[in-house]
Amino acid sequence: MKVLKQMLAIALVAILPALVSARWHPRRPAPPGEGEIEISVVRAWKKPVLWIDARPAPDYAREHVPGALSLNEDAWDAGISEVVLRANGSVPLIVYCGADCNASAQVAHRLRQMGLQPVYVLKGGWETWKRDHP
Amino acid sequence: METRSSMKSFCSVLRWVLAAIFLYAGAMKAWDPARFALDIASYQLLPERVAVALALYLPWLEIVCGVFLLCKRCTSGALGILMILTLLFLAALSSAWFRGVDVHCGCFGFSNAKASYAWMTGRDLVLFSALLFCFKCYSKKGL
Repeated sequence: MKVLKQMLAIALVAILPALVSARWHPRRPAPPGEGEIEISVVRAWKKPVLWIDARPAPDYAREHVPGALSLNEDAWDAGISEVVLRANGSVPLIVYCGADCNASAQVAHRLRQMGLQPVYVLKGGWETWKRDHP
Repeated sequence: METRSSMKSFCSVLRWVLAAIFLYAGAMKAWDPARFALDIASYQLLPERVAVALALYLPWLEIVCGVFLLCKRCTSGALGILMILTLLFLAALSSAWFRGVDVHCGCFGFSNAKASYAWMTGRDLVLFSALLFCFKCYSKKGL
């Protein structure tokens, strides 16, 4: 019983720094669903967009949205300068990854933190784009 | 009497080592929770919302446990939590291994390399054994 009480106390103590981290950490995870956009909406825009592929490099090398730039957490420094150069403050950025992944949300979150906008996450990711472009 | 004294010293050293391991592991993950969220998501076991919440909470839980171990306060409770975390990680790892999912360990904040299941499982079994041994040490009166 004493051990359980100790465990509960420790678990409660850890909540406070976690909440602070969730509010102010510069590298906090993106809230799920932030800035998601449907492929139909992108299609309806009929204007240039900059696609960002947040999947691992081998997946990007195999196949990607035409004109997409590769940018992911593992190779951030290698890819970010090209993205900033091409974003140019005028075209919307649309980030995608696989179907069930969080990488696009994290990359989009980080791009927004850098001041780039508008930045969206493609709902359904790469698989949705593939279905839309058979 | 001498055996008891050396056992006490061994348990203290083991407690410091475990505290250092979890302080380091927690700090590395707390430094970059966004990346840790990706590592958790790579297991494909939890909804995104839960992965994000855990990425913010678990590193601090490890750090708090590490601090308590270091200060020899609530030692059994801290060891209990760390044993549960290690077991949960082993279960998640086994599940990913069984499903053939490529995962990033995320254990020490580095996620560039894909995980080697055998290495991670072995390491965590050793870690769990050390935690269990330490728990038994501090469950005995007088240590």
